[in-house]
Amino acid sequence: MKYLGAVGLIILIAGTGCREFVNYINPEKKEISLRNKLKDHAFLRNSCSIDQNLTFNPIGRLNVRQLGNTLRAITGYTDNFTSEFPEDPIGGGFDNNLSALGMDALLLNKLALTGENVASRLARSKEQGGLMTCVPTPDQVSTCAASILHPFMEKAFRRPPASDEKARILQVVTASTSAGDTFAEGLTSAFEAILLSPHFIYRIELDPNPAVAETRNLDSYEIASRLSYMIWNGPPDTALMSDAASGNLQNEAALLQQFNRMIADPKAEQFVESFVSHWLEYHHYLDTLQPNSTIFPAWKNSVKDLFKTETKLFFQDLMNNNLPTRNLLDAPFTYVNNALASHYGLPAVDGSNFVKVNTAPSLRRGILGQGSFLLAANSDRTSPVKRGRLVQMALLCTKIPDPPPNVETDFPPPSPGSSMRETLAAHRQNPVCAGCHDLLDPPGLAFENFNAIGEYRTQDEGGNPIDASGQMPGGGAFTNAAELAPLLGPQEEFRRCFVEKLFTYSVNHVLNDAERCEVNQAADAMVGLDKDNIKGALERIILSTPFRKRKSEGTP
Amino acid sequence: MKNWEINRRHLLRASATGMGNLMIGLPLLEAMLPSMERAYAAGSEAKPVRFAGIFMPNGHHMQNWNQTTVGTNSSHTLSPMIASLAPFKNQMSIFKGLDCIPGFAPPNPLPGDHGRTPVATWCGHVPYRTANPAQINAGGPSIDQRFAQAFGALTRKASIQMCTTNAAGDSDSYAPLYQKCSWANATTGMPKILDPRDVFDQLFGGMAVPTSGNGDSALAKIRRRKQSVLDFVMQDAKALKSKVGLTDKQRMDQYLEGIYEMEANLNKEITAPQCTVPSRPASGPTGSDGVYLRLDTHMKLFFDLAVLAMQCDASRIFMFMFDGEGSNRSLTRELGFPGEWHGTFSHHSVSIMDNGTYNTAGATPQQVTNLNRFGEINRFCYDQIAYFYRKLKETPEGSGTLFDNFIGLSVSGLADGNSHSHNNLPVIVAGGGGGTLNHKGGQCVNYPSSNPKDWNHKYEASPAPVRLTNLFVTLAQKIGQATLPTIKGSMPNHAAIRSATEALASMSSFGDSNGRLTALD
Repeated sequence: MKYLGAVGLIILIAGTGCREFVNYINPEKKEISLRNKLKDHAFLRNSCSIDQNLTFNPIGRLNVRQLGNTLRAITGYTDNFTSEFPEDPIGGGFDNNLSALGMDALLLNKLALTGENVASRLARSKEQGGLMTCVPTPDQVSTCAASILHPFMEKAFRRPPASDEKARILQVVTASTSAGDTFAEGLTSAFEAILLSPHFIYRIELDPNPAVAETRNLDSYEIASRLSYMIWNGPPDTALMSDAASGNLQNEAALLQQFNRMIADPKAEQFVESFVSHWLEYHHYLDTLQPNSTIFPAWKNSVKDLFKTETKLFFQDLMNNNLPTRNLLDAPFTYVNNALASHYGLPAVDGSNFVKVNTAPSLRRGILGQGSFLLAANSDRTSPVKRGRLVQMALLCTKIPDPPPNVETDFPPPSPGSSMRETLAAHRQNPVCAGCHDLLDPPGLAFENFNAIGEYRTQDEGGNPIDASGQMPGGGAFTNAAELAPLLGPQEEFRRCFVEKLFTYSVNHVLNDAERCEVNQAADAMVGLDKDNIKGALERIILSTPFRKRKSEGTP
Repeated sequence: MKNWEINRRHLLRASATGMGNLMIGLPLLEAMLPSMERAYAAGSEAKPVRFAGIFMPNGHHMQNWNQTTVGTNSSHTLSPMIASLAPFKNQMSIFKGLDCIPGFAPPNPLPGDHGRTPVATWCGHVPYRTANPAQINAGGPSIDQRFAQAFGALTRKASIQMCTTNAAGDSDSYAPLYQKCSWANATTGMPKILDPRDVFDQLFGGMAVPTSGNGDSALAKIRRRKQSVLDFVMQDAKALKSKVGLTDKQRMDQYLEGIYEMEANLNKEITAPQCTVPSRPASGPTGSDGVYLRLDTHMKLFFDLAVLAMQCDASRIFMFMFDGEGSNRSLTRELGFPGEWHGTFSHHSVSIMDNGTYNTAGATPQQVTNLNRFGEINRFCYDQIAYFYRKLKETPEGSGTLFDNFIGLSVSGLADGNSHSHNNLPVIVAGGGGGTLNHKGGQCVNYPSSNPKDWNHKYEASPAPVRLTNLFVTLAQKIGQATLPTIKGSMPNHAAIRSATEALASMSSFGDSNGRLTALD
């Protein structure tokens, strides 16, 4: 409980940000702010009133990854399709936030061109996927087109098409052939229309009374889509559609059975890649960071891919083997191939295939010892601030606001006799900076034994010996990164935060207080059920109200 | 010659949904021009006037910027920072002392300046401070979209927005979606295009040869078939729209606007002289190594496409962002020194003094080096702008050049980047504006009502700020006046376009404006 008190302090500060905690205009506000934070979300446990307080999910489009996967799944083609599509916007930290996923002319044009190509291929190829099952005589155009198009519509829309939709798509074909086009041309237009339809492009959950704010259970097809886009970034497969058709997905046991089948499917790597890369923010910094070639002459950009593979395999291991969530931070093992082992200074392994290795006695633990975390750095040197920010924001859900203007946010590289630790300590003498940096710097400095490209080192850029010791704000003391990991991993605060991130990813919106209350209950429940692991958390989420129900928008 | 004319029009007919695969580049022969256009090309009619808004992130080395002196008739001295703009000095107005008050987020200055700066600059509003995309509110359309919404329908593409990366700094106060320079309304940002190939497709993508058949019948068939696809999906979207709440209706409107644009382009003819459809750029936004293109290479691709689009009258409104506000781009390849634009250089930590100079005596050598390099980055940006303006000036149009029928507005959303100040912003207006801009033979104007000592983050100290949006109002009036004569009675929707453009010409306020500037009259 002693530690919980300390974690509580962090969360108090997090409520409206450390800026207000140590207000840079009026530092005397400190005491007032502290009192005002006593109702923070970390303490929400009972009476979530979730049904009344669900966040409304707007109609959002599939993101680019989901569009590509869906196109491949419904056509059987293996093309990339989306390599030249624009990057998706990030909302609430993830690229599947439905509010952020709007439409614009650029993307719609790409969808139209892609749909045009796919449609003409589908209509031409007699062998592909058994789609072209008939060659009609003139009086059988509709019958033949229906046998081809109606099943395709069901796959594309992830639900059975309505009768008017079925009729209208046949009219596209018959209008075309009546005007003198070939049957294949008529089908091409129909395929094109399906692939440009909002029912294909968007995830649509219609409410009976949109203007009245009311909560309802999702129907089985809606649940199927939520589940498959969450785990596979793709459409439901035949088995899932069949459970949707029978209504089975309304049943908790059947839903869990589908979940367990789907998470064991190779396609579940979609969830791992999307979730982890956004959770740890490396989709952004790892892709754009260009380590300075003068300082790191041996650096190759291909190492970035090794980092991503390592983290994916590591997360999959924990997930598939039901290892405890704390292992995300404190596991004394990882996955490397020969190149990565050499980069990390770990004992050599054979070949380019990844194998599981123990990391002790090195200081690497869990994701905290992996390049995909450690490359939160500058191009030429480490940034304890960036790493500390990631620990606080991604792992502990502490809200750290932007630095105020007029303060130093970049520090000179350490020079002999003056380490980064000393630079940061001097900087924290300024109360304006100290509010946040008291939180950021200690965990950030713990990783100073790893340079800006994740290699082990004992001296900093200025040749000073590394001192990675410190104390978590209000928490335990450590002498290096390996000792920090077991201070963070087992704590309730990390588990709660991890579940909050999973939740945000899974329900596609930023959580409100009632939903954070659900997060806390889920985090408690998985411990109570002896399922304090990744799948245990996901099970709590898919059974939760925000995942299985939706609220209509109402009249604002 | 009749056949030539027909074929040429077909080639230029736009169909965004069709024919996207085969692109050609054809020189325009005088004989291929329809007779009416020949008269146009000869210069006897009003020319379209184009607007380019150019945004530079992270602020300026203000001491260097301030070296430009005040004067008219080109009697002023240009700062070395903008020396590359010297060839345009007599068609250019440099503004000192303009403020963007919304950048400060009054009444209480809030942190997160980089996150709100593009919206504050171009919309004249304080964006609602949120990291949640469901709560975004940019306050209203940006100035370029006011132009686009008035007369954008005259061209194939109403407006286009180009930026070199998706970088959004490390702001946790403002959603990354706020890092856009152009807003259709309070909640919808215009797509920020990184990929030069996308810029090409958006501007010229329909200018392609039908892949099958020749002549009118093949084209008519393509149009008929595309129309049936668009009709189907429009019906889907309209049916959905009737069944959903307010937010989702807006969602469907976003979709439908894109569909309507395709439909319009299906039947739109582009009738511009001096147009050479370029070939599609080979490069995406990143090189084969996955790293973003060099900044100068990338901007040059954008500027080249914009100049070609102007010649084809494919669009008249162009927005450029050198990079996202707060971008930590490294410019080592371009300028030879390591470090990050935002973190290392804009936050050089050298404080600016009341006289607008930097307190280098109180700074470390490394800080002074970073400050100087920051100035180098600013100069580098102006070198790229000078490339753009030079190309415009080298491209004849009628009896003059494209530069004569152009309004370029370059602005830095922050003045002193280190202190995140939004007053005394570096602003330059360039180009003839189709005869509507009077640069007084080349001028640099200072607005002394803005507190000259207020170089820091103290907007309250500015007793009578002269607002950047007042300049926007003036430019709206000018471009409205210049555009009216180019609206022909034969154009579709000409009456609505004319009336919206007349409204621009008499615009009285925009964002936080409280008047207009007379310096360009």
